[in-house]
Order: sequence, then structure tokens, then C-alpha cells
Amino acid sequence: MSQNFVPAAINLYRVRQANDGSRELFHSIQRQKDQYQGIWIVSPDGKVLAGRHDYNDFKNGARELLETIDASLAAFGPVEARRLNRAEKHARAVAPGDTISAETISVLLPFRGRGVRDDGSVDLALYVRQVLGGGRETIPAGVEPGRAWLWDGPYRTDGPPVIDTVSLSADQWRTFAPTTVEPNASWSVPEQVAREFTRLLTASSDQSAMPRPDDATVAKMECTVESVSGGEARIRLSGQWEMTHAIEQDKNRLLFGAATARGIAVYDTDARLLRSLLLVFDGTIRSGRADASPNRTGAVAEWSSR
Amino acid sequence: MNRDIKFTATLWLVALLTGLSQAEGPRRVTDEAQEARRKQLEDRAAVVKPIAKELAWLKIPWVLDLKAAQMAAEAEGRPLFLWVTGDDPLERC
Repeated sequence: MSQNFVPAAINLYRVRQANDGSRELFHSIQRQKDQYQGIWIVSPDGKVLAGRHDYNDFKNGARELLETIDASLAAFGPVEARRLNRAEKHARAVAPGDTISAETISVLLPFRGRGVRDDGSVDLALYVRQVLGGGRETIPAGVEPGRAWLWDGPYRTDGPPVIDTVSLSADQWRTFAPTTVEPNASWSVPEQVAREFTRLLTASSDQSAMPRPDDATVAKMECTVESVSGGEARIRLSGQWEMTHAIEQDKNRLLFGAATARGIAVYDTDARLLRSLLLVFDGTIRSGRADASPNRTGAVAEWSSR
Repeated sequence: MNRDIKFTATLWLVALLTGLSQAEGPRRVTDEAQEARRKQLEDRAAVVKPIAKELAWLKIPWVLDLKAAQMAAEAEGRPLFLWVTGDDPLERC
């Protein structure tokens, strides 16, 4: 991909609005290989070499795409391997028409999951995906026996990961720190802060299906200092969420989510600052009706000071 | 007299060691429980978080502008690989 092609990730709606020639180029590409979205492989002069927007066999989707890529390269003819050095990548990262790579993301999101901004705010790194397994003893209340199999076997993934970020202001972040640093001291995180984690109740990155803080009908977080020694306090976290979200553009389609979370945080008692936080969520999501068959979600929110 | 002092000192030492042992005992259990819970949480988190294979697309230097990509393809004499979605492919769908 990186060596043979100029890879471009294009927003369909944005390119339709462009007035730099991109719109016309895209319309031409779409006319040659008619598909709403997906993959097109195109020569520099705009001739479509290949395209694909679905798979004949989902399990072999990667292989089918590789075959499409190979066919397009065969049609185009030999190309010299592309070399982008580190400086070029970064030059592109900050220029108009920039590129995105792991390096670029670390440049664009230097605080994702680590560190504190000068204004005291932090960005927690979020991950969500559908999961299975973990044991029937962990089935939450309200799950019908016919879906108990979702908890059978070892805890494992059942879908691709969603990667996201939640930003907490300095005031919000402060609510995770103890005011009394002694064992068994406990406190509640304000509901308004707990609501910021509602997004973790679905394994969807589609904004129409993504619950917002206001969708939470329950959002509770509790913290307890478990021990204090060696200049650090260890804090146990627990939480509970429920939400109802109306799908955008279809307010009659509802999503119902519920989750509990457990976590740990480490607080530096000398510097009076949090050093790390890890929250692990276990949830169910139901589509259409509150009593519909559930699917399961697993989610993580994490942060460290370095 | 010396024997009394030795005996008293021994009692104090025994009491001190007993006290330390009792104080240390429950704390060790707490540490072990905390460590076990931390490991359990980290193991669960590791399942949910993406593995390197799932992040391979981040190694690709995606261009986000079609015109800029076409100009690069012309300059380099190679085809464009277009990944087009109904929103920003590399951001939220």
C-alpha cells in the first residue's frame, strides 16, 4: 500500500463540496466504477483500474482486496517502490493535504492517554468492542437464559476495536483525586463527569448510533482509597451506567445500553497528583426495545501521567 | 537485676515482633489482592484494546485531500489507492 500507491482516505461528503477539481475527479471515478463508497484504484490521469465496495465472502475479504490490488497493479504496469523518509512524513503531516499515520497521530494527539495539559485538562484513551465469554457467573441481571451463551468460554473479542478519546477539564479531572488521603476514604465522582463515559456503552463509531452524555439515565462512579504507602495512594473505582439513545435521523429507533466498570488509580501523595487510571467496562447493548436480545460490549478508559 | 532486664527486653522484643507480624500480615494480603485485581483488570483491558495487527492501517501515510493525492500520483508516476467513506475514514464514521 505505502510502496506502490499514493494512499488517500477521502470523506465522501467533503469531496462533493470541494471546488478545487476534486469533486469533478471523484464524479468521474464514480461514473467509471459505480459504487457509493469503498475502494477505488485509479491511475494519475483519473482512469479507474479497479474498485470494490463489498466482498463475495466476508471471511476472505482481505484476500479478495489483495487480489483487487494485484490486478490493478498488473493493469497499471510496474511502479518503483515509494520511499518516504521520516522528515517527509512530518512535512506532510503539517502541510495542507496532510497525511495521517501513527506518527502523525502522536503529533496531533500528544495528550491522548497521557500527560496533563498546562490548563490541567486530560484526554483519556478509550477503546470499545463487542466481546464474548468470561463466565456465566458474570452475567448481569436481566439477561434472558437464551443469551447466556454469550458469556461462555474465555473472555475474547467479537468484533473490531473502536478507538476514541474523552477530554476532561481540570475541574472534572480533579474529582478523581482524593481530598482525604487515608485508607477507606471514599467519594463519588459527580454525575456530570460520569456521564462523559456514556460513549463507552456502544462499540460503534458511527455518530448516529453513539450515545452522548445526555443520553445517560444512570451515571454513577465511586472511588475508595484502598491503601496509602510509599508516597502513593491506591484507589479502587467502580461505576454503573445506563443509557437510551435515539438513532439520528430515525428517532423511533432506540438503543439501550447498560454497563458496569471497575478500575484502579494511583495517586501521588507527595505531588498530590494522579499518576494513572484504568477503567474496564462490561456492558450490554440492545437495539429497538429495552428487552431485546442483548449483545455485549467491553470497553477501556486509560491514562498515565507519562 | 540483669536477668530481669534481659527478660523484660525479651518480652518487649517478642511483643514488638508479634505486633509487626500482625501489622504486616493483613497488609501483605491487601497488597496481593490489589495486585491480583490490577492484573485481572489489565488482562481484560488487553482483550479490548487493539492489537498491532489491527492498527496496521495507521502505518500507511494517508493523504486526506483527493487533489493533493492526484498531484502526488502524477509526480511519482504511480496509482492512487482511494479509500472513500460517508465520513472521515480515519475519524468517526
